[in-house]
Amino acid sequence: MASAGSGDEKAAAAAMITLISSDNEKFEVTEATATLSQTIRHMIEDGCTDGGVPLPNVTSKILARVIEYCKKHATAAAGEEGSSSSFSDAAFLEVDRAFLEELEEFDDAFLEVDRATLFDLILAANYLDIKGLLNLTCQKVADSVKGKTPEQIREMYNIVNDLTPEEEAEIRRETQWAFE
Amino acid sequence: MTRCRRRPCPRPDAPVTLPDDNDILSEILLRLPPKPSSLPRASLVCKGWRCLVSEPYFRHQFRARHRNPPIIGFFSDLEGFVGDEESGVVVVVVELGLLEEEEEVVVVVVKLLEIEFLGEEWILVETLMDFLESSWQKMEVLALPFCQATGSKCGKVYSEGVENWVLQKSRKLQKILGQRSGPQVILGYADDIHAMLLWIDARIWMLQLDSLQCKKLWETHIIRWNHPYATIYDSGI
Repeated sequence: MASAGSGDEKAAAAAMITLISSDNEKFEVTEATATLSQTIRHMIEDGCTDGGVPLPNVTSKILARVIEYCKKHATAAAGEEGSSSSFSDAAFLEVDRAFLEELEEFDDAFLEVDRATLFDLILAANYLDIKGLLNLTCQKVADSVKGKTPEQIREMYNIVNDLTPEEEAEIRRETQWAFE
Repeated sequence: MTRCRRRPCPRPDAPVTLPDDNDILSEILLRLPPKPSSLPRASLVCKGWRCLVSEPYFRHQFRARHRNPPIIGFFSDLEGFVGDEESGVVVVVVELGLLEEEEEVVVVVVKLLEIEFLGEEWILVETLMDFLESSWQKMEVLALPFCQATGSKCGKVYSEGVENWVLQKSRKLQKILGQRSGPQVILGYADDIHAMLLWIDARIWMLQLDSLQCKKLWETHIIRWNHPYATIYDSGI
């Protein structure tokens, strides 16, 4: 290791990307972590990440969370690639399952945030084009709406009912069965 | 129809206000469960939501996302069927459409497929092959719950190339259902979700073939062929 040290270090250094939050905080992440974001992946491909990637739409608080997610899932992606050759090996499958369970627990814990943070995460996932994170966070909101009446949904998300009584009556008439 | 003019729902500034972005709202609402009531309820929240879920593009995406809609119920009729006298053995159901007389549908239950599990390879169902080859020329196999055409889509295959059928898996029904004995009759098969409808001991059960989970549906003494009805509500709102 020591003899090849300088070369490795150089390669490792080259694979680090600096992300800069809206409040000017810098985050050093590996390329594998950063490229979970398609937006950043494209920037890397275009060679425009020198001097850091400014993310004016993402605060340091949210960026830290997003990076936490990406780190975990980048490890998972690497693990999947590594184990694919051992597909038939039951022991490896067992390890995979344990890892997937761990990932699921991580995701559940990750979503334990207030709604305002959740929405910030959605906006960041959308802006950075991180499909897994967008799916996870949007599903959480969809689940919160599931089975709720329109009145409850409005209350939860501060939505003003701008439908006229006539429009409302019309929708209800057309789809009466859905509200029984 | 062109895309609706964007009129975001007016919302007071509060910590739980949704991001004012229709693409994000779309991402969220697409993830509502594919229940018939999901979209009508969402359309009653406000104009913005109503507009969004009424868009043909959204509808298209919603359907594409929920490819396997939930089973809402079953139609039943008085068509004949053949029951499996040999209890405890999973059978393959073949529905035969006579092309000249489209009205006529014969339901054939190929019985007694004693199937063995040989390591990782599932053996070919020779009984079924023999049966089909010696039988009708034009037939459409509507339900092959435990079989799959190699390299082809599961569930619906045609008689051409039956020699390629390979058994996917087999389990003793008794073990799944915990039933000791009694006649078991297959009443229907839901292609989309790979579920069989079974009549056992005056009860109708739904057996999901991927998970092998069984659910009791209702009790009846009337045995009828059942057609599952599964859909996402999709009329205009």
